[in-house]
Amino acid sequence: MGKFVLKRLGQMVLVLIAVSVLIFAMVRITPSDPVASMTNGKNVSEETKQELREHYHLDKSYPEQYVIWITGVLQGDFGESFTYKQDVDFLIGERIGTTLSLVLMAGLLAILIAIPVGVISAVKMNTWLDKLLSTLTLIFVASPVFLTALVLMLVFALELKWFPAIYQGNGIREMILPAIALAMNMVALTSRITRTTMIEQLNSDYIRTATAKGLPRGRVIITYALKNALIPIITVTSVQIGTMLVGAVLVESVFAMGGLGDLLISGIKAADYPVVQGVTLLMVTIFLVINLLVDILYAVLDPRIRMK
Amino acid sequence: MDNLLEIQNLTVELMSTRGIVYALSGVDLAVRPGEIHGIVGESGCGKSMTAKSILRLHNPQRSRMRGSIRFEGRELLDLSNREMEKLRGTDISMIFQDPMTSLNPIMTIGGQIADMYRVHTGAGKAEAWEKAQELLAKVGIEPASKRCKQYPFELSGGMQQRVMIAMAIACSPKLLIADEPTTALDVTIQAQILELLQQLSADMGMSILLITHNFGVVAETCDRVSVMYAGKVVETGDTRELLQGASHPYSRALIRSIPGGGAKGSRLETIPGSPPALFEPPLSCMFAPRCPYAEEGCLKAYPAMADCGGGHLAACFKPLDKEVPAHV
Repeated sequence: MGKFVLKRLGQMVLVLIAVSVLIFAMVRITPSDPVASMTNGKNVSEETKQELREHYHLDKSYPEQYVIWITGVLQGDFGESFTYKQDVDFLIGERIGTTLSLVLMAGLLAILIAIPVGVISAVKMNTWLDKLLSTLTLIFVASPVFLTALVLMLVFALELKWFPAIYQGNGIREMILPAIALAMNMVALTSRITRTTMIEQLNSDYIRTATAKGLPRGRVIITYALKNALIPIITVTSVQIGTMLVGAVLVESVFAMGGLGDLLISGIKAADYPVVQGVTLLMVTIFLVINLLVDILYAVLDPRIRMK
Repeated sequence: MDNLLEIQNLTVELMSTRGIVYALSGVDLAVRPGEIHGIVGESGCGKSMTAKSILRLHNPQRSRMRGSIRFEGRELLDLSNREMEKLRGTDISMIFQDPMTSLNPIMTIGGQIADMYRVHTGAGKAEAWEKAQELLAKVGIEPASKRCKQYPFELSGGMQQRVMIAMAIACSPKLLIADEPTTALDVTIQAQILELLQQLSADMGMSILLITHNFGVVAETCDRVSVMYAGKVVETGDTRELLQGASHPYSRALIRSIPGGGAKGSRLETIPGSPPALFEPPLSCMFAPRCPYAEEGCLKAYPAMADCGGGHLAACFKPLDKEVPAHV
């Protein structure tokens, strides 16, 4: 087990190196002028421009720039933002709490809704209840995150006034609508997978054995079928949580939440290389860590994986 | 002698996408206390369906059961789901054809045995675990204390079937239904499993309903045997008697098609034609279209099970004479 984790960590480092190069290159491929955004498009002398370029190492070759950036990153220094004139570490630190709580809340909400919905649909397969749940989840699969967010805001914040429309960082109530908006897509996909996997498990031989040896139906469904169905469910959920990081960018922007998403978008608009690089690299890292955790979870759940 | 299990006129209809399938159309079967009773027949004749019906393992939404299944005088078809759960595993238990997939893959074998034991007896964890080890030792899985902690995928097919048996006898049931328990195993293991079942039946006074398509298995293990064809039992009798002189033309044809029965070098006997599709309820003898002895009357009504001497029953208008060798 320890060896397995070490091996995966090693792979993770390789992936991160490759990703850092990609991010670095992609930021520079975009047709934008960072100096122009530093000066807010004002006319400044060529000297000032040259000074700015030197200050941010933009006068150096790309390989040199990469080395400067990555050396900083390895020391925990993501560089200085072109537009905010502040450390990217600080900018991220200020906002990461909002984004992580949003993703965490949405993820929890999604799992808590999706798994029961999927299990009920599977147990009540082809009844009106299953069909109703299927229709609802299909609607949410089809609806993109920003649309769900806007509709929720329109109905529950502007019309019914149950929740505030704008997030101002005051407690969990403000987070509910954004979290629901972000969760719905995942609820839909995870509950579909739960349903399919559960139906498959419920029709399997060992469930017939469990029934034939007289275990109560509830126990058969939860401790036998659901536990066996968890691996595919977790796989989908982990991918979804990764997607959620991206969705969070959109939701944050709809509810003006000022999280990492906002920072990323403004960074892209302003060609703020250090911000874009820093935030993207962080998101990739979070995604990779989730994947690693999921692989460990597989081994915990399934002895066939654990003992290999 | 009172029968332990008595099935009368059991019909099972399954709702399929192609319409109603008359899977069982009036099965009569009786299992006596302590006996090993075989059910033989070709694929799709309703052997497994009968077995599953006793424990009511069909999906109730897609099947309809009628008739009577009496176990120790209790009508099983009238029991509530809760009552049925209590009866499964305690009074009647069951093992299946494919031990590889019949065990929960992510639970230790000891855990699976202990789990059902606790549900039925309310025993504590430690006691149930003790019991699980004891049961594993009883079915010949040694050393039980170590094996208990293993997962199904760490065991061979034969061992897995032994685990299934250990689980099935945990609460000392009066009837064990064994649905093709050796079909998925190789021949030497088959013999061991059958021997184990016989020994357990004798030791515990447990009846076994053994479903198989293999007359060899029946000959070696069963006290009595019922032959099924197209959703009905067509003949029941003492194993030796039936093997030597079956009264129903189908039983006789089936026995004659066992490989190795004829003279060396002779062609393997077969039954011409194929079993009917079961999309319509039977109105006449289902075997009549393939039967060399069929007469006009055979196509008009269904023959009831009738005694042809000494408790030997056959559903045939013209049961064959036991002494006269049949020509198929």
